[in-house]
Amino acid sequence: MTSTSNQHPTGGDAGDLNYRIVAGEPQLADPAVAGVHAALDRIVESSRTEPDAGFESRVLAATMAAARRPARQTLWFRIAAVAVLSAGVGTAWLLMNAGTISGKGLTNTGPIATAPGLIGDEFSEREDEISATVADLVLAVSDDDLAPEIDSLMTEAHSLGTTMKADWLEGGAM
Amino acid sequence: MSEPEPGLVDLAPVLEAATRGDGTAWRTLIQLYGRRIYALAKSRCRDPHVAEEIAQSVFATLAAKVGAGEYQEQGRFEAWLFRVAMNRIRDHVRRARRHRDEQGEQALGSVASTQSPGRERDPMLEKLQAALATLSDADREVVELRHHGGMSFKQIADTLGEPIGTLLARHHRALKKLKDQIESTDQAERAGRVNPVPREIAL
Repeated sequence: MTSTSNQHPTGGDAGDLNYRIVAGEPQLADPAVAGVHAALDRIVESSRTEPDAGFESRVLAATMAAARRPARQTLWFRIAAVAVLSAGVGTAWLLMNAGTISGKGLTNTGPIATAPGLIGDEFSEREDEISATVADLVLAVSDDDLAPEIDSLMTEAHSLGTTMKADWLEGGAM
Repeated sequence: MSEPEPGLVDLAPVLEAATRGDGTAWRTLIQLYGRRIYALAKSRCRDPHVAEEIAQSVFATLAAKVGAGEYQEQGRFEAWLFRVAMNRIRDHVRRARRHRDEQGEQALGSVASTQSPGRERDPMLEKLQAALATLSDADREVVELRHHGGMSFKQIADTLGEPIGTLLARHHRALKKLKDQIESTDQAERAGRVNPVPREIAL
């Protein structure tokens, strides 16, 4: 085992006597594992020369395709956002009307007339929340978070109608 | 194609041009890092086609993120690049393990044993590859980032978010494990008990 220094390049103690600092970078200084170290380098050299000459061009083609994608994605996001919002509005409206009918069937004594107003207020609030989420998505879209965010929005739209119906029934029964 | 040395290239203007979608800048970045990412992915996935797919996916992700302004140049591009690469590789390994669990060991073997065409087999390197597969994920990551990724320990520390001292200890321990594993395989072969380290151990 050899060691000339164990000073961390950034000033701290690297804490390992099996390495010495050369040009600011720890280098292995344990001859017992030097053979493995050299063999690893041979594997790496072999791996790096393995792809054919077209490798860089193929990677570049995929990269440039992705670089042009964000503009198209934004457009699709806007379309998807409108579709999700429309679905949310439509579902809520249908549930509200269905709720009105069943509410009348369940009780004739509740303050039914006040319920649509409550629903309208809550709907506006939730609509604002969803719109804000969609705006965030449009501004900060990337491949990785597209699917979960869309799923989340769809869940939000569904729960919107369900919650409003439950609230309306509860309010109608008061 | 010869790789330019990352240290000899001023990355800041290249990255700035890449942000604008400049193809020449992206080509430079791919020449700098493409084969290193490939080697990293190949070590873990053992399949040249998968390794190239991962390399393409990593650069495509980079292009999308850089284009969306998600990367701000602070001199840590390599750490960021290799973090994206490691995430891609981990995703692939997770999927492969799930696939193996669903399909059985046979499916993994058929994927993992894919060899690069036109390559002569080197028994020593094959033993080393097999021994690599016996390391823990944490040990293996340090070895692969250091050797296959060609990163400095400082960059590995940035990528993995761990102190350099810890990484040095882990790297040395991993090399010793590799050496011990290879020696025990050699001893077993010499003793006539041809029971080498399984070539295709779990990813």
